[in-house]
Amino acid sequence: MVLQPLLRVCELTKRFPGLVALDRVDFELGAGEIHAILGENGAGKSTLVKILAGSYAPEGGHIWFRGQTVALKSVHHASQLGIRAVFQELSLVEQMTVEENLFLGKEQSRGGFLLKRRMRERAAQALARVGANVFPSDYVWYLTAGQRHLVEIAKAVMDEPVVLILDEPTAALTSDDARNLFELCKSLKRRGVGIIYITHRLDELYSLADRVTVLRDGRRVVTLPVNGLERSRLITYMTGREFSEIFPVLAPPGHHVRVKVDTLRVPGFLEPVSFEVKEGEILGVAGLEGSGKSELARSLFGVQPGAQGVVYIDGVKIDIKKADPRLMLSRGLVYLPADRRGEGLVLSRPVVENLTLSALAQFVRWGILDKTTERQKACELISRLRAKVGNIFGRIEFLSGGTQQKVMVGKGLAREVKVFVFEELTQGIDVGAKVDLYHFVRDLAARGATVIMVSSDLGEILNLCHRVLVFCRGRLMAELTGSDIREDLVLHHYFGEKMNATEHAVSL
Amino acid sequence: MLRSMRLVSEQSEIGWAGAKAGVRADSVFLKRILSRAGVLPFLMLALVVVFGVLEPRFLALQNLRTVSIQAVYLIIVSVAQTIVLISGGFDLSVGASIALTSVVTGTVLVAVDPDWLGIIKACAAGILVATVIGMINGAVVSLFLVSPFITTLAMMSIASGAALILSGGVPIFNFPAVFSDMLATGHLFWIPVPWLVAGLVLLVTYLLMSWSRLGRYLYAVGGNATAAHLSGVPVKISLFFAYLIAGILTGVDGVMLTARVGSGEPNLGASVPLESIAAAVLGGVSLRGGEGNLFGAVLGAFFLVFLRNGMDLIRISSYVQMVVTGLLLIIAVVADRYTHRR
Repeated sequence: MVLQPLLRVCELTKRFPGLVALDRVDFELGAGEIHAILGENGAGKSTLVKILAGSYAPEGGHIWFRGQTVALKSVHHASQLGIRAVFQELSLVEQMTVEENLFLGKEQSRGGFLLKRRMRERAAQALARVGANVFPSDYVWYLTAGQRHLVEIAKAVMDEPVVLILDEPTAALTSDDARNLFELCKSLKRRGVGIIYITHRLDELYSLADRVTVLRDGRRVVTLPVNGLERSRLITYMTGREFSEIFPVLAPPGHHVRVKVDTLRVPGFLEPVSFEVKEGEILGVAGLEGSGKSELARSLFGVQPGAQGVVYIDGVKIDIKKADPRLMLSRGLVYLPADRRGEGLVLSRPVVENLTLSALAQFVRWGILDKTTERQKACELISRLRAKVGNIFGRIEFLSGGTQQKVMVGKGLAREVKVFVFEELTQGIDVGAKVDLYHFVRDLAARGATVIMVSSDLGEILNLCHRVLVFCRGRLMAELTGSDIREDLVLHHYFGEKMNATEHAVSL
Repeated sequence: MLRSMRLVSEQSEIGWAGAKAGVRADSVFLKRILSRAGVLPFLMLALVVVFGVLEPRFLALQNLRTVSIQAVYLIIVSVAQTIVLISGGFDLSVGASIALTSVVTGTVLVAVDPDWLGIIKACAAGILVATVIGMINGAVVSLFLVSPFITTLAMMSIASGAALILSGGVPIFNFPAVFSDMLATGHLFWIPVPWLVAGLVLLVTYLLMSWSRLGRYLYAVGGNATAAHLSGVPVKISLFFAYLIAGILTGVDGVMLTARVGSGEPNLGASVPLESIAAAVLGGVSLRGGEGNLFGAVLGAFFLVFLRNGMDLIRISSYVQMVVTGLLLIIAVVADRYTHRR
């Protein structure tokens, strides 16, 4: 099936402080092949493709491109050779138009003057090719996340690459856009382009890919043809565990209504929604990007601009308009943001200071901080969370993602909290830390805390929640309980009334 | 005990990294020192060696004592600057604030009776005016979330102008002799008064920054304001207090400097914004906020003042000294960037 290896890597190794991101990984891509890379967050997928795209230099290993060893010096060098990548973090300049972005760094000019009309025509062609419904003259800040992603893909395809790397391209796309993208991939494949396709959506893998390489904890587990491969085997390869080991068995929720949300709304982002959550209950909030699930979480903590409505915690009424983190914390609700590094932690400060930041008042005696008690509390939290922290006075930025996440959770535990709102709790962390956190969430609920899990991770939604709310474009689409929490139902509501990606993928 | 454990673990880490990286061991070690204490230890060493060799008087006890008293004035304002820098801001108005304090103190001083009460009134007036400047800085920065750079730059112009208007552009003379005798050259329990004032300022600000909730909040706000807000930290109030405290300290510094020069000077402190930032950054305070401590800044200030003294002793002109101060600030900023690269 694979005619000739277009790209081959051997024993590729990359280290980061405190972490081996890639450990002697082999990989091969044929011309006209779509090769999927599958793995949990933190498995090394992004590191591998970043090396192939020239943004990281590997510490060990070799790369052959069209039969010759190459040392990729930079992204620019890689793209000159014909290797182009589209990452999750986009590289568009928001203040510029789509066409200016498409030609950034390769503007066409004559006699020092830009050939604007010609660039606009070519931009329009490139956008049509990826099925992006945007004008070349649109400013990028005006586009949705999905449209931006398509522009980025158009930018890559415009260069007629030999190898195209797509890093979770459908994460931000609507189902229509995703379908266009699949068509594009297939037409590129027919022209002999090799495509490396990173995903953790198994459906996409089955409908598109020829082969799949599974990575776990920086190592290559296996490379197999997709045809005839069982899903359960893939999941076991990915996680290194049987499925049943990952998610704990939940304790039944209580009867007392802990949180009552009454017509909570964010004009333009979230339509009015009302629901209740009981003590000991884990409520999942699912939806795609832009579904309003993140706005819901942030509203509950009083950090979403424009949010209105009322929340009752144990019967105490709180006007969301007037709420802020201080008030919500004093009412016993804590929110842990998805963006750990940007919003959750103060990276330049030691672990201990991060842990106690929201609970400092309890360590103050006569205006002076009681650092001994503070340290004891920090150590206690760290051992409770099984976080691998060598030195609590060390800067937090050097810890692994999973440990950082545990510290962030620890922040929520430092004070009396009855309601936990987690957003993307396990994003970007390794399986071990994930399993720890899952058990931890289960225990929190079993002891009577209320947990609201806002998550894009389908596994979490399906297996760690008593009840699930599914949102789509700012509207509550469905409330699922018990045996109704099934992948097909959740996915169906993910995409609203429209045909969902799974059905589409199967019909191809 | 705990501290020594920490050192051991770091050394072993260095050892590990050294063994792994081979040739990179030196640069890792260098980076460790740099990230702990900035470039200052190296510069201090160079300073002592160079001037000690070139000019024996530099290390004479009498000279060291005199210069240590001179250093007080830069130290206090550098501490003020450091508090604002840690909170993630800047205060460029410190120099103009010192000038206005000086003029106000001088104006009050020549108007009141030359006794204890009169002196206290004059000092209070001076400190009050700097405190108000700090409050305005803090209010504008925290309420409207505008750039502290521009806010305090504008305040610098306002305070400078006010000082020149109030004084008519000429210094205010005829102070009662007791004012300078007390605050500039006086002793209490055989200790020079400037040292006592600096010691008190350092004690209070150390407790504030390292042992109080506000200090912890300022580090958090400077390190990551969003995370601080989401942790329930009152970001705006904390920022306001940073500038307010800086204002009070600047006022104290202004009064002390006025006593030293013996007149109300509308042009006092022109070089202070730059020098105080240079002292703080040399001492390892990050320009991006959330990092550094007061003692680094104090050492930085000592370094700058001793450097100036050394250059004076070997007759380097003050014009050249300005160039040197600027160069040092650039070196410090580059070192800051290199050690805290994210």
